Amino acid sequence: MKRLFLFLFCILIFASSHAQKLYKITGFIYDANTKETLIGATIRNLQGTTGTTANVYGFYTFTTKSNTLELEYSYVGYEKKVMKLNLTKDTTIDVYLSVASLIQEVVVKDVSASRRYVTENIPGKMEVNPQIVSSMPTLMGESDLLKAIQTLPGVKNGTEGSSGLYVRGGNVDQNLYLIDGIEVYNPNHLMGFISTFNTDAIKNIDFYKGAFPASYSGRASSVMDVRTKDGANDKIKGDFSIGLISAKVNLEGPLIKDKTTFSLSFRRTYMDLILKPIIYFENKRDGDDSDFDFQYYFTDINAKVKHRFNAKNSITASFYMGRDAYGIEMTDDYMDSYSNTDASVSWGNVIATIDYAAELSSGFFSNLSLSYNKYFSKISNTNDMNDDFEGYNYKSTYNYNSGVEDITLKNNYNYYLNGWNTFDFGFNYIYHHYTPEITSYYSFEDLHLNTAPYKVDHEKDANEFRIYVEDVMTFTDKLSLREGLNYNIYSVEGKTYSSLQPRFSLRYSIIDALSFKAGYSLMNQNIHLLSNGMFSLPTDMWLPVTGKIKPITAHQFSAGLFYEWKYDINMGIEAYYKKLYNVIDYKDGVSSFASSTDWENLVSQGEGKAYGIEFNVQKNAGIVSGWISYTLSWATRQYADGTINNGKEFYDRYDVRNQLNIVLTSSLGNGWNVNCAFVVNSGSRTNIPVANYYNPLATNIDNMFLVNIYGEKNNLCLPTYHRLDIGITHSKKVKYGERAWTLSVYNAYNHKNAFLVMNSEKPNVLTAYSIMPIIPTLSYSLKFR
Amino acid sequence: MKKIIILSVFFSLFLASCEYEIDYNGQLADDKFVVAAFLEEDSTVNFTISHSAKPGMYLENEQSPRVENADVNMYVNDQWKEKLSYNSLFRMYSSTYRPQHNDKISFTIENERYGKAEGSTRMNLTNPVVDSISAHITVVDEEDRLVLYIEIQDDGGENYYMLLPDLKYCDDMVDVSYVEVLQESVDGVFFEKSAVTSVIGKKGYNEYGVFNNNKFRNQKFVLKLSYYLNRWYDDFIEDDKKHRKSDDVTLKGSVVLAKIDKNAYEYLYTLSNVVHSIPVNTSPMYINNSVSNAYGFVGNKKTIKFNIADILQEKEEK
Repeated sequence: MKRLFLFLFCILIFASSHAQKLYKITGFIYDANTKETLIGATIRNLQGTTGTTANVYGFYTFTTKSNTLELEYSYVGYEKKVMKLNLTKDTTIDVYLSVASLIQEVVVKDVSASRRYVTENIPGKMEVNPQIVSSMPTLMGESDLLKAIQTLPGVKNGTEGSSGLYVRGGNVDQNLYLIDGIEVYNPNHLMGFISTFNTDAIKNIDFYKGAFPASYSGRASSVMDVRTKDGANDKIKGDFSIGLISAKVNLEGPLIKDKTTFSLSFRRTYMDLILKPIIYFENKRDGDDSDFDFQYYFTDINAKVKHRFNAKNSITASFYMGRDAYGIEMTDDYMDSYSNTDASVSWGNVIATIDYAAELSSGFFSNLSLSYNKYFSKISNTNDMNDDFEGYNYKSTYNYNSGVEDITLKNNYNYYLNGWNTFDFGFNYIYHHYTPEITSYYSFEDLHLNTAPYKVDHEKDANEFRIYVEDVMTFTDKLSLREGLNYNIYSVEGKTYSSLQPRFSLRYSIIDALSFKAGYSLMNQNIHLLSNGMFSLPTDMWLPVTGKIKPITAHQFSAGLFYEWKYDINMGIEAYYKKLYNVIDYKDGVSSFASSTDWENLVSQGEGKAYGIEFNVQKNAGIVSGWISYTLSWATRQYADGTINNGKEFYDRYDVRNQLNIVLTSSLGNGWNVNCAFVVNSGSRTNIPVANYYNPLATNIDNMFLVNIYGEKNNLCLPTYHRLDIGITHSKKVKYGERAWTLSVYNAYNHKNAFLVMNSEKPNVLTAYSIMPIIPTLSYSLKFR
Repeated sequence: MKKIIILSVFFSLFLASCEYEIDYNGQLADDKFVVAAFLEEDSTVNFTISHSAKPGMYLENEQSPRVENADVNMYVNDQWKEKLSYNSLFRMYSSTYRPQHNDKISFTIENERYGKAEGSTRMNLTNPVVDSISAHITVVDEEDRLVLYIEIQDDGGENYYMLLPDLKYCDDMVDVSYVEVLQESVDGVFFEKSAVTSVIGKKGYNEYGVFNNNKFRNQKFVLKLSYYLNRWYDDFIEDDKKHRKSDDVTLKGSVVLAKIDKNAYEYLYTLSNVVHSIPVNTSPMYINNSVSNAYGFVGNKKTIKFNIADILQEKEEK
């Protein structure tokens, strides 16, 4: 304790020892046309090596000792602006950047990202360019943020085609997805094949794999912080696109010039709308008395309104709704008998937020937000049968509901004390209402209650309080430190868990273009996802910790070298080691079909270990841009209570030893763009029987089944996975804007990648199943102004 | 419904999937004996011995791969007793010696191909105590159900039970693997170890009807079960209607309640879970064996048999 106080005292002395005349420059950075704020824009002193970046509201503070300086403002896709300043006092300068000139093609320039790659002092942070995400080859015509993230070093994809992220040995439920600061519990459509993030609505993406800032908590392995567009301020504009399975419309513009803007994005699949009349006519054409109806669709709506009271105060209301719905109905009406089966499944997210942002004083920025967040999953099935001739009447109804509802109050502050200290602090309060499972079933026969009504009703309430403080200290031009604490209290069903989570990272510039970075973080997670493990399904359940099931804790160390080469190329090498406690998995022999009743006795908690080394080369500008990443990694688990793999350590399912990703986008001129993504990695792991025998207790031929004998858990590596996706886009200016045709080919050489293997009837031969063949897609987009 | 959704997803993916073969060069387990023996006091000892195989290695039509040339030696209280002889009619190894109460029965099974397996069991079980038992047949959704009511008085200690109807319907075997728990005086006993139960009501598979007394030690345990009676013959619907309308329809057989030892309990409930798992269950299902260097179990039991004719009450139509 004495040492802690001494350390803090030294910090204060250091902070105050730099008490000489300082000039503070603050302001917002905007797009010159749309007046959209530019998150992460870089501000650099050309006469030194100091710099800063704009925060999530586009606000920046730069402090300097010198009263004459040249500041360079830069942002992806925009022309730099250099301002020569002669300061006499603290100054507010709002900067407006213009979009870089386009010469008949989209050239991705992200020079500022190159600089931040070296100067940012968070080793595990990766900035994902929304433009590159939108230009990457797509699956079924849907540009997908999570699939783009899967090509980053240290990130594994799960089942073929799915959007699950397994980050540095973590599980799919250990990722925190934020839209405008609010959590999204289930970021998946179509069983995880497509994510809920509509890339057209996204302004900024920050992805953290380690050394997490203190403002983040709640998940053990990664944070993806997505900010959506505020809306253009110059005029109403939009775009429309249609692909293989869905259509999108985006609209943005001013409601009150220079005051209020809006943005609206809508996406929906349309196949059900096309199938509906076909099914109708098919039912009519049959002429029989049976009808069939089928429907599946997913949809996303992002809406935002931002009002600026003045240069220092603004309020934003944002809304997101995403939903998948599946339904099937069969009716048979023949003479005296009638039967009807109606089954439907739906799941999705609803998020509504009000956020008030204010510059309280020079260099002191605050935001206060109140939000509502809901994840829901519903299943219902009704059967109705009657037969007047047989005198039979039967009806049954089954309903299943699962989900989570949160109400969140957040208050965050950024305080730029001086050029060497920037504080972030704040608190969050979250009320959670968990509904892991509400199931009801009853049936009637001949108007009498047939079976006893069955109802399972599990609901839990939890309160969570978080407080954090973080200081970014720039000791010299070469050395900066970020140290923080996040304190979390979680209370559910009379049980309270608290955790103090330290965060630390440093950057040391060996030379201007080369930095060494290192970091440590402790992350806590108070919620678990019980799922079948392969796909994202509406039957997956989010469950809070209990008196018996403890929170997950993750300690992670990481360190690496980061180099900014010429030609806007970044190179980095980073090693990490992660230790997980209280990870959760079903015990051996337990079916993943189990109800949430008594779930605590179906799972075991154990430890996980992950380590590896990541290489990344990234080119951020020029005719060709993209990245090449390689990861060599290990991930293991051990459940000491003996209920999984007899307590012995085993490789995790997604222990993928080698992973290489190549993502390239190139502008060929005359409106032509080509992009490709090549992925090759070692296969994930699965379980294969090592022997079998016939049931020794069989009494007749019908129960003479084969019993499979398993060895070590995850004893088999699937074959090497590799896939090439390519895309070609042709853009052309038209009267009202710009149109583009895109041909995307997923799995261009049609490689069969196994997602499941089983024993065959032949010795030493397995039967493998692959589900994603070559999938070409043609899509059309129109940007109108 | 949850299972239906997950199975539907996998089924759809299988339909859409492309199937192909890959070579497997990984490590497989050596072939071993598979042993099953349920000893009872004052009854001959019968061993069913077959063998395991690597996946895909069973000979075609080899559906009951019994081992007929093993040396099976039995020891009683650590003294060699006899070498069991192979009965080719029943395809099992049998003893002449009949174990007595408190005997420790050990055995070795050996041959050149499958090595040497060993195990033992102690015949120290006491008789289960049944205070009351009755049964009746009811019809639900045109299906016969056997509703069994039983009161078991537990005598303390670590006890394992097996409750299993052994029934025939008009000389045809009746499968009673799917059962619904209508009543338990202590919740969660019958399906405690079952991995596959329905979310709608307490229905599921407990293939061998095994449960333990952890929750009702030294107490009376009341259990009411509804067995789904499925018959083992073709066209059972037609015969079912014919039989039901006939006056001489009788359900034959017995209901057996046994105390079993831990070896048998561990093996049987894990075997039941494996039997009823689905192929795409992504977690491996393990079986608890009690024979060293072999698969299977050697256990003992103390049974009470209730003739179904004696306990069956008047038939109910519902």
